[in-house]
Amino acid sequence: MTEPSGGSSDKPRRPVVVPVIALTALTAVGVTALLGGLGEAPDELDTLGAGAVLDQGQYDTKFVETRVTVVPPESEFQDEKRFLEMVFDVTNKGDETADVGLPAPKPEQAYLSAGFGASLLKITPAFGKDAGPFVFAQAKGGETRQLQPGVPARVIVRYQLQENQPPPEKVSFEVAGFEFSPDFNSDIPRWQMITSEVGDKFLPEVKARVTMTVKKGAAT
Amino acid sequence: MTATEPRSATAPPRRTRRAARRPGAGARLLGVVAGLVLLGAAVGVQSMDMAEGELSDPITYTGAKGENVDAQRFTVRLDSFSAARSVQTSTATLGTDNLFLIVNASAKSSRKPYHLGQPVLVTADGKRFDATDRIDRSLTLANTWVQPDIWVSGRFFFEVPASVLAGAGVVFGLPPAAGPVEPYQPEVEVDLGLDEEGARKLAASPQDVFSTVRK
Repeated sequence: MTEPSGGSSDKPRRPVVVPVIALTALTAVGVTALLGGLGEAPDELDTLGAGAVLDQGQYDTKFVETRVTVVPPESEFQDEKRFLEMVFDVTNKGDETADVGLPAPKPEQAYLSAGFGASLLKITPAFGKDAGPFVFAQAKGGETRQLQPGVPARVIVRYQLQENQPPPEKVSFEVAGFEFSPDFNSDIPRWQMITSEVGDKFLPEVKARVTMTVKKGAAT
Repeated sequence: MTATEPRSATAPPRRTRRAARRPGAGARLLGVVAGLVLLGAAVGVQSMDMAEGELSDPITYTGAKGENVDAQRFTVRLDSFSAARSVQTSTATLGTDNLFLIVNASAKSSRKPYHLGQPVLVTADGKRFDATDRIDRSLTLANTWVQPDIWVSGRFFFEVPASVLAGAGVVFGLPPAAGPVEPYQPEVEVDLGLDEEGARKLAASPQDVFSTVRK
């Protein structure tokens, strides 16, 4: 006698749960879609240190080290110079020779150049205006400003230290990336810094933050 | 035309209608074929459409080593090339982890004096190596005025990995000008004529020191 009632009360339970879940999920997705989808959470950028490798699009870059270099005087009338050096191993992945570039004085000017150096932003601590930066790639027995395609190069970014100015403990900066995209004027694709338009300025998108402790003693 | 003519309200006798339709079917088939041909032609023409940037590409005159290649405004001849491990200038001897490629070229212009720009080495896979900036421009042919009907000779220096030499060519042009970029600039591309074997030979026996110092 009890069996039929028990059977009948059990039966409707199962088909209800599944559609309810399905409907709830569908509504949730629908509401999300109507509200403009899921917003992209701001990326928490890792802080890279010495030895880290970053793909910048146009360049494969290794952040080698930061150090103090003493350059002996060229003649007896000059003093020796001390430089804070940031050392990078850069490989140009493009098809054409690129320029080593120069860190831009302001972030909104950085995108104007596709040179490697321009992708180094907000170098802290800030150095004086006459301190540099000087950028070059080391070549056997000399310097060059060219990054030849596919040829790894060691790029040095230098700031001159004043007499008795102690070198900073560490140097940190942000790094931008590049993309091969059509030129604004001519539509010809070329390597350009990835930027986002903020107001009337084009600010580079930060790909990574780098902090390197300044090596001591190993100066040459 | 008969095929598309509206039917008259009073249906014509079957025979005449049939007679009218038969050439119509043939014409229709012809029309379809013609349409397909035109469509194909239209698609075909699209492939001749210039890609982005091609409109402003330079006009390239090609030639072989030892040939006078006339690019209208100027004529360039690639006389010879050699490899070296280091280049000696009056102030220093420059070494390299790669290879110095020294290109000897001659040039004259047609109407007015020009300077040639630094050439570009174009590899078989399309990579473009600018002439090296480590050797001062004053030691290259780019420093010499190229005048009408006067042949001048000089060198250009590249610093490239030995692996890119096979199938490479050198592109000579005018130096980049400030201001608006002129389209259809003339340039001369000369194939070095190096196959795998030739490139290996060139890279295997580079000169130890190439001296630019005049004695």
